[in-house]
Amino acid sequence: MTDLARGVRGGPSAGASRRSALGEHVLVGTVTALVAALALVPTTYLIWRSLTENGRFTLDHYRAAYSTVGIGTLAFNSLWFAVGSSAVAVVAGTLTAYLVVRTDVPGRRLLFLGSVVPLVIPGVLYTVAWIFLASPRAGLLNAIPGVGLNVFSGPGMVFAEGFHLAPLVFLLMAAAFASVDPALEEAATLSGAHPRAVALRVTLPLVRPALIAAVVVTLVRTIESFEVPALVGLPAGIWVYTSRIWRAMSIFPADVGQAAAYSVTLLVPCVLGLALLLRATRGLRRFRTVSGRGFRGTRVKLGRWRRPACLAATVYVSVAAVLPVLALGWISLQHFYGAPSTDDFRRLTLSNYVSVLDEPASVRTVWNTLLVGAGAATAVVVLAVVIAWVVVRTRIPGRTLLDATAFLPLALPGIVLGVALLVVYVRSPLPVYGTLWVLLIAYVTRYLPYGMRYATAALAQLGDDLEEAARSSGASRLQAFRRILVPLILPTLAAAWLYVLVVSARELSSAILLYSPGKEVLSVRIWELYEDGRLTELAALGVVMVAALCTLAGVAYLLSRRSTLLRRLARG
Amino acid sequence: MLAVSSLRKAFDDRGAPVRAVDDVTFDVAEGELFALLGPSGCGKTTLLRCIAGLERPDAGEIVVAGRTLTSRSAGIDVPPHERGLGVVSQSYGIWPHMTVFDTAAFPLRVLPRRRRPSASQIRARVEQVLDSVQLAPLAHRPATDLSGGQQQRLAIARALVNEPPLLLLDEPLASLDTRLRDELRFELLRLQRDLGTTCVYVTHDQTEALSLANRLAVMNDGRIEQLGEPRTLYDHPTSRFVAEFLGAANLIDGVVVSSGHVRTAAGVLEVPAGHAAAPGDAVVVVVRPEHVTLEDATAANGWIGPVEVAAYTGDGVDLVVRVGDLRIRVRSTPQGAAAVGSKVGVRLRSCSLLPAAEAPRDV
Ligand SMILES: Nc1ncnc2c1ncn2[C@@H]1O[C@H](COP(=O)(O)OP(=O)(O)OP(=O)(O)O)[C@@H](O)[C@H]1O
Ligand SMILES: [Mg+2]
Repeated sequence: MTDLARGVRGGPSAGASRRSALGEHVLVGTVTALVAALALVPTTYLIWRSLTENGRFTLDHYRAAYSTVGIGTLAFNSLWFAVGSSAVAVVAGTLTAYLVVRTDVPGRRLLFLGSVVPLVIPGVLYTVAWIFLASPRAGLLNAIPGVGLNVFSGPGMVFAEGFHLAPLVFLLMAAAFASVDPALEEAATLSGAHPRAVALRVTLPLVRPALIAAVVVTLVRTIESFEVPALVGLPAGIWVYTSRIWRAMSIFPADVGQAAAYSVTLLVPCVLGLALLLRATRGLRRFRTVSGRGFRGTRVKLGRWRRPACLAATVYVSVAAVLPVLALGWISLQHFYGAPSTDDFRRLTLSNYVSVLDEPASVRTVWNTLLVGAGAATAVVVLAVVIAWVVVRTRIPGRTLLDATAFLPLALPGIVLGVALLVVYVRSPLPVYGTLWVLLIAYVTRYLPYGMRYATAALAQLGDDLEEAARSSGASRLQAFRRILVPLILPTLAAAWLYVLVVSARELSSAILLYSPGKEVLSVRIWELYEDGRLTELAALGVVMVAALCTLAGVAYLLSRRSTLLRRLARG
Repeated sequence: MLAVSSLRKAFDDRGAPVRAVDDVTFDVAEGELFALLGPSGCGKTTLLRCIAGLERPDAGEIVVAGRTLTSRSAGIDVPPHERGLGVVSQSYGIWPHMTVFDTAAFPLRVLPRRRRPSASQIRARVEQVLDSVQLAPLAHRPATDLSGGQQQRLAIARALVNEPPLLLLDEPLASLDTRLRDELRFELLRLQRDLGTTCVYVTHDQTEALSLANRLAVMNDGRIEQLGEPRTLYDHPTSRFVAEFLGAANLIDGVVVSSGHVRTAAGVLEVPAGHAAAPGDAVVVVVRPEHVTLEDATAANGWIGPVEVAAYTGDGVDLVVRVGDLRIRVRSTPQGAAAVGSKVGVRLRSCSLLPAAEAPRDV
């Protein structure tokens, strides 16, 4: 009797809990191993490769890389390109965010939309669009009398890159401005401060952590940028690190050692930047200032500056977002690419769409893009949710290390990752190289940090009580996770999934080194079309791609809005 | 000092206008502490924001020290930062990126260059004003590290550092706990008397308004219901709203029989003569519980009845005595308590009259 009672009480449930604890450990172990394989192995191999030749230690690669003529210019170019385009992005993004979020400038909705559109356009397309607009001989803008733009120049590089990155700054700063308590600005006004002094002495210091984050992020992103330096910089003879790495890899035979040496050099500022970013965002939390008490969303009244501000913002949005899209559309309707003339209006055609979409290569490319994108998105979301859960909800030792490791790929420039994966998988016994798998691995590595951000935020905002209620109803931790948490954060995860799909489709800088013939993705296809000089067809494919990506991004946006709604419902 | 006339401000609430400030007129004299009292949502903050220049009124005029700050008819609207007023807002607006000293110095540092004092003058002035609110020892702390009461005093210091002709305070004590509130109330009064600053003080707490103000206005639904000295408003309210808002009150319906006499359900009351009501008019007699004493029912205005409720509150006893159909609330000393059920005499020592039907509001 007592034995039976003990058996009933202790036996099966103890066994079950042991099993679930074991399951938990297996899960965590697998995830940790996967993350380490994704984030640490390529970097390690890269460093090792830069220091060896045929398995023997040598410094020759560095010596060769840095004794090339013009290496001083290389570092200098990389620096001013990064600083210049970051400055453009930060100034444009911050000003538009301030206007849209904090002032009564007219047309805020349209300005908002126009400010985020370039984010959806793949870098390779955006750069080509600027070539269409401002190449010295055939640039559409140069058809206007008195305009003489040349995108193949230092300023051309800086503005093309800066405008493309500005939406990122815009989103960061818009969130920061929205979280500033208007009462703090009113207090300054009532202390006698002129509106300009209010903006400079109160608003700006309050958003400083976000501003620092924006500066660091754009610096890292411009250092690792590949499309503008390759497409615009090379014809102008302006070399930076990323284009140099690409050149070392694309000559025959490829100089992997030298590329690895350049890559390791490029890693240094990126890792430093990431460390800085982590410090800055820690400060962000302390500065959260919305008090809620007496909150009233009063906007800064621009008064007589209302119209000029609106005009300036409209001009900026037109140049940065509308013109490139229009240029793609216009070129896609032309019979051939050449110096623009008024006759072009009479010779519009849809034949480019027909020919480019009819081609088997294009169909295969779209299919490849979707396959790799969806695969990467699924893998990222699953990994991210599990890691986020381990980090946010458990006390398992080493979880902060897991978090940091999953975050590390953020500091890995795409082209550097490409070199690293090549080094790893060319010699690996796994039959990965030359298939789509290597692209999948690259995308999962690159976008895991983004998936992590979605998942951690979603989990952190969901109260502990829901999970606890499930636990006290008899569910194991894993069951509570699977049956309670995952369904609740599903809309967020769907948004994350779409986001990864969109950014994978845009990705070029690692794919350019990893694809093999027949295994191209869309961004690579656009690159090839450009190399082949099939520009009108490129434009047609680009228009289709932008339309598809805009749709996906729109759905992702709606989903993430729904999910905040759902979250609010879940919390009562 | 401050003259507000015919001020109106409506907000648009999905098509329907919300009249937050509805034809408000009042004057505040030099050195006076003027309180605006009213329930939540009656438009106090909106009125104050209009004076500060943060809201643009739909109509009306605001004049401070002879300078017209707002006049819709003359098209004048001085921007808020050029008004030179001191304002302490409902949420203090303490900047998280400045120290206590920098916060208090801010209004001086943003003065136009011609009028800006030198750094040493600023330091002296800020130390002086921080001293007056007892924050001088904390000058180099980050401002948001201060406690609620200290932040509130810092907000006052910031508002005073420019020596403004007029100080606007919006529920400065509302977010503090009761004990701190009592303490700071007298602190504030001392500061205001010492400096002689003219103040407009917004609150929804009648004790605060009655104890602080030289004069006060009771607001309801965007309008001023009654304006006058605290004692007058408390003892002689002109409307049911004011009578009830300023404290507990017995409101007894009756009919005037002759000048000085009102017939009620429990008998005829003697009221002060000289009221406007004519014989035959329906009126309401207002009697404060503390103006009712427990004593012989034989004197004038004396009634007798059983005690229904007796609640001990520490500093006194609140009683409800039933007289006929009426329930009379009595505020008594702890000694004067009577057991529930026992018969006591009550005497209504002081009362005032209201017209029974309130004048309909013009639209
Ligand atoms: N910006 C606004 N938009 C729409 N309605 C407003 C706005 N500001 C105030 N109101 C409305 O005007 C009325 C008066 O508001 P106000 O803040 O002046 O009240 P209050 O007397 O200060 O109340 P409290 O004691 O709660 O602070 C309220 O009905 C409020 O909802
Ligand atoms: Mg208020």
